[in-house]
Amino acid sequence: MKRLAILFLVIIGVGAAEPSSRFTYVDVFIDPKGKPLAAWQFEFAAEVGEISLVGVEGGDSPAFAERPPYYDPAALAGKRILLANYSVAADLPKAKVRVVRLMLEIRGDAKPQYVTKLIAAADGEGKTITVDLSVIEK
Amino acid sequence: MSEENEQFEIPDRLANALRDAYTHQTQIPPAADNAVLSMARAEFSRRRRMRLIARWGTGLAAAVAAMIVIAISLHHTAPTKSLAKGDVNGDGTINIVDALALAKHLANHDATEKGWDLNGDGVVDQKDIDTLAMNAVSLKQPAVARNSLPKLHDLGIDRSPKVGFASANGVFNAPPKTFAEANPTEDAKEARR
Repeated sequence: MKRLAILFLVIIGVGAAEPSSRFTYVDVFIDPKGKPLAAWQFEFAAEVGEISLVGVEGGDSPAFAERPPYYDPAALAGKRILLANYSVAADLPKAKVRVVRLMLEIRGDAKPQYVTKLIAAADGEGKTITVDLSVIEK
Repeated sequence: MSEENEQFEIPDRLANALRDAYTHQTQIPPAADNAVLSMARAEFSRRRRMRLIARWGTGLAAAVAAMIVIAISLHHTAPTKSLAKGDVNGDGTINIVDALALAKHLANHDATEKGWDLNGDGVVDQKDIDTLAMNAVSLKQPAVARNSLPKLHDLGIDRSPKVGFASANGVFNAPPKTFAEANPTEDAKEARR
């Protein structure tokens, strides 16, 4: 009985020592507001708490399905990443579209906060267009 | 001739007297004659050479000066004409739009430039587009290394326990806003404070 109690305490102690960790994802959307979206590039950072980028997935638009978004692999395991993609397809998205999904590992209880910065967005002719960039967590 | 005769006309008597008085007849050896002639020819030839040298020298100097001017002008215009490697659309920045521009060039089979061979394999192809795009998203870029993203504090977001998910505009539980709202100007930040 005494041994069982010690084992129980050890298990509890180990469990308390390990910080909680969870995986989640955020979706990044771009709304080109009626203009054809042919290229986009933005910077994303997760702040507050222990957060790591663990993966990048492409978005929903078939125009950008040909290749995954470009990013620096060194950004994985970090909190900051630059993402970009382009398309020469004829049928480009003109409405709000999910361009990327970012997989995150969050350690600890801190609630993450995300900051984005649009670097470039262009139409099929390469002309800069005004877009809305938004992030939605799972 | 007649004018000269009129000007220097002398009486016949005087002329006959002078003709009779001039009895000296000098014989010039042909060698001396030839020597004088050859010296004269040599002198004229030298002058002609000098004139040719002066003429060609002037032309050559003008050509050299023109070449120097052209070389200098080309050297000075080179930085503006030859854009940064990868700046395909020539807007002064390298980003994904340059990759798009290059992709369109290739898709349309347009002429490509040597400077677009970013991976240096002698061919401008999809690999160069990928290289360009990867350069654009590299975290090693100086601009990116300077941490260009605004800090949460700059966005007016504190780290109170209440904070939760923040969208691109950094507002707690608010629907996503525009990029301009997420990246306010200094005035906007002051107004928010």
